[in-house]
Amino acid sequence: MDELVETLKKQIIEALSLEESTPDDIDPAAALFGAGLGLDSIDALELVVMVEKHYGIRITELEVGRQAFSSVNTLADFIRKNREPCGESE
Amino acid sequence: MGSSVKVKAAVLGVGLVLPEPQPTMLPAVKGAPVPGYACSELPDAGPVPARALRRLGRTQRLALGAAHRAMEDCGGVPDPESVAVLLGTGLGTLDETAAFLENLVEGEEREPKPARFINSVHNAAAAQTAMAFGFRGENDTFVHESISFELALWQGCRLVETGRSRHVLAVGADELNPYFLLAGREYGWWRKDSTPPAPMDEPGQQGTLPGEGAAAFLIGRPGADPEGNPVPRIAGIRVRPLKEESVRNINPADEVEFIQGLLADAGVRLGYVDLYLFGANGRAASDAAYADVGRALSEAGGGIRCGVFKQRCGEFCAAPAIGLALALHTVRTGRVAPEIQCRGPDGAGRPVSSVALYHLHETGYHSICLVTV
Amino acid sequence: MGIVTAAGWTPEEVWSAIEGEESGLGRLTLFDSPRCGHMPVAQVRENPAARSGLREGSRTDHLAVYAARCAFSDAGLDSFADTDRREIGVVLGTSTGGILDSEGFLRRLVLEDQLDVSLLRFHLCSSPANAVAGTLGLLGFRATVSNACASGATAIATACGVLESGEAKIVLAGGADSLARLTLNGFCSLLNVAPDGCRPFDADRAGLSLGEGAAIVVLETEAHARARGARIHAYVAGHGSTCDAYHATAPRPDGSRALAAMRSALDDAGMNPTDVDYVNAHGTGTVDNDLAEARALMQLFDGHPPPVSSTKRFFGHTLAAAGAIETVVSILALHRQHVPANLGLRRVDPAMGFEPIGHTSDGELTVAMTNSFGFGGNNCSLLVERPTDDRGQGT
Repeated sequence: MDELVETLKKQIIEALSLEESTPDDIDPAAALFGAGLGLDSIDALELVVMVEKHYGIRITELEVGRQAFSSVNTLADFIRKNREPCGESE
Repeated sequence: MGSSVKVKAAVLGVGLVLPEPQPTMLPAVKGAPVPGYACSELPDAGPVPARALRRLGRTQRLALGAAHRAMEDCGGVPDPESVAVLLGTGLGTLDETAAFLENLVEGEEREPKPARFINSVHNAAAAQTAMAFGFRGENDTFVHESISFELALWQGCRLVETGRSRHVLAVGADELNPYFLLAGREYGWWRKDSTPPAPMDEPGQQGTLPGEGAAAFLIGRPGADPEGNPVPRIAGIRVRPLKEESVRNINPADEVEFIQGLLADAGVRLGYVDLYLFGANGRAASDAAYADVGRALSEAGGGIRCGVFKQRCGEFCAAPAIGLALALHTVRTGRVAPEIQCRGPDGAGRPVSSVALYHLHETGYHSICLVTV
Repeated sequence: MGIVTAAGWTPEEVWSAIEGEESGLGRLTLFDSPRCGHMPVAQVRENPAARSGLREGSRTDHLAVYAARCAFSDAGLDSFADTDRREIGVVLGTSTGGILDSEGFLRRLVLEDQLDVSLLRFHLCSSPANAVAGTLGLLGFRATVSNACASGATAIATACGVLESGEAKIVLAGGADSLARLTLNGFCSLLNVAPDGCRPFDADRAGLSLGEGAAIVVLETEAHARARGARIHAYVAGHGSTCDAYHATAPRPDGSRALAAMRSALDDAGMNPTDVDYVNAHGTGTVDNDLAEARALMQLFDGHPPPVSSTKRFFGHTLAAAGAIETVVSILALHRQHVPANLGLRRVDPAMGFEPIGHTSDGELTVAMTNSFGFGGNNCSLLVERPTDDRGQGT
């Protein structure tokens, strides 16, 4: 089990107040937007803030965000590539 | 009686969201709680999905609830994509604005809340209403303190009258908010206990309380209902600044002339109106002014019947929308709506087929709206 | 007409900036913003409170009153007696209102636990219109619209309706907004703000640049204006408004409702697309707006639009003031027979399908269209027309 992926699922649920969802409901390979979890562009902006808060990575361009948030797996990859060397702020 | 009056628009549907009938003590953002009329539950918003709904601000929820009820009442329109939405709100989505700013200040701008910012624009409620029902016509939000709804209604009637829009949804909505309660308390706007105000009644029960709520009206070109039922119509709406600086200085004769002016445009006289519904709210100076106007109307028109409604919903910028909904309910049924309390001589059960909704705003405006069936 | 922007305090100054292709974008000094302070903004450099003649008010109030007094004088109304002024109406648009002062109230409360409700006294959106009316003694029809970025245009369109209805014969109409932490942080949180300034229709455009300012026009029925010998700068030939009903912030990608607003304005004016000599686009510089707008323009003009430019790099996106500022700019363009540059353009995005005007250039201009497509999907299109007889020539 990928710890970062599991942590991300919980953080996504918290950031977006997805009260009916549990981490097990989220397939890490499935699309987050449109189909899958059905998030929208406003949710994406909230995730941008979440990523900055927990991982110190600041996304400043919509296109970068769109690609990173395709699925939980792509988000985990994005974070691993870009996060600060000293690790999470959490 | 109704056929001789010149009307601007037909009211095809009404949706009303009232607060709880009894005021309760509500938290202000700092200091002592403030009594007010609150909606204990937010209304059903019809076609808006639950997930999207949870993200919306309070004024948006109230407006959507009223809009949904209005659309249910009228049974839908054949051409939603051409419906115009005109919304009046005095405070807008204050809770969303406050939430975004508080977060900014507390977190030194580190973790902004984009969803709150999006909701904080004043046209957010009108935009959401348009999205929920697919209304793609003109979309205007009026934010001019206590005449915001009257302005929205004025514009709505203009759009229908000139043919710019076949159908218009006119909405008035305002929320109770801890910052609003705080400001009112500090400025001395409210009474201190939670006894409902008694507008134009016992002097001992002076003062007003804040409230919240919404009402929506689907209006269209005047014409008979296909089944031949009487359709309530708006015969006119006028809203203007007062010439005087304070309601204490108004000249009752001028107010009678203002009211007569609207009636004359509709081709009728003072005696045509079965019931005057006043926006009196229980504040002493304001009540006294309404009483003076009432007396002047009686002298000019040979006795009038009047009623008040803010003892039911409290005072808030969009309250005139509540008044209009109650006026329309009255003319539709022929009987004074239960939320209206009559003052002065009763018409002894005489049916009511026309109501003039009159507001004398302490902020320096007056408005008159005539509805008839 | 009266106008105040980061690029000038009078129509002459504003036009001079346009001729000189000088952007009003610069560093934010009005307040500190740890997160967004590095973004270029079009900040009005002198304190508007020093020039408005208004005793007290929010920054937005001062901007509005300054512009209103200029317009009032320009229209020759200073000599109007009190009784005549009382019939004059005011319809303004604003989105921020007094929020800059309200932010101060909140900071004091949250950070210092101090209550100062006096800072809230200019909070309401009605404050600028009331300040204008109070300063000039105007007691006619009064309204404030708040349609996000379309507000200024909507105010002018609404004021036309007020005149047509007979409610008033003269109405001051326009918009005003000041910079504020709310809007700067808000738009930044939408990843919509360009770090090197807005570049409308550019292939590398990265978002908008915020600005502040006000513009007010004095609208009058033609009969009344001619009867008192007033100089007529331009006519509002028509207007059209629609709603995307698509998304809280993003425009409908096919531009269909924007197109409908423009068509509606042309129908209202009894004109065809071929009658339009210049389009002052909304052109904020965001990826989505510019593309949707371009699609609408290409459809309206059958693939061959007249000269098009967005002037937002001159003044920033002034939100509720934008529609009114751009109406004044369009009128100036008609008077000077010059098309303002689409400042900031380096390489047009091929997806636009047309080439905005890169440099302020000559034109034969009689009719201009100015578009405002706001947050929440509010679309408002105005058509202004230069008078073509001798009477009524502009400044």
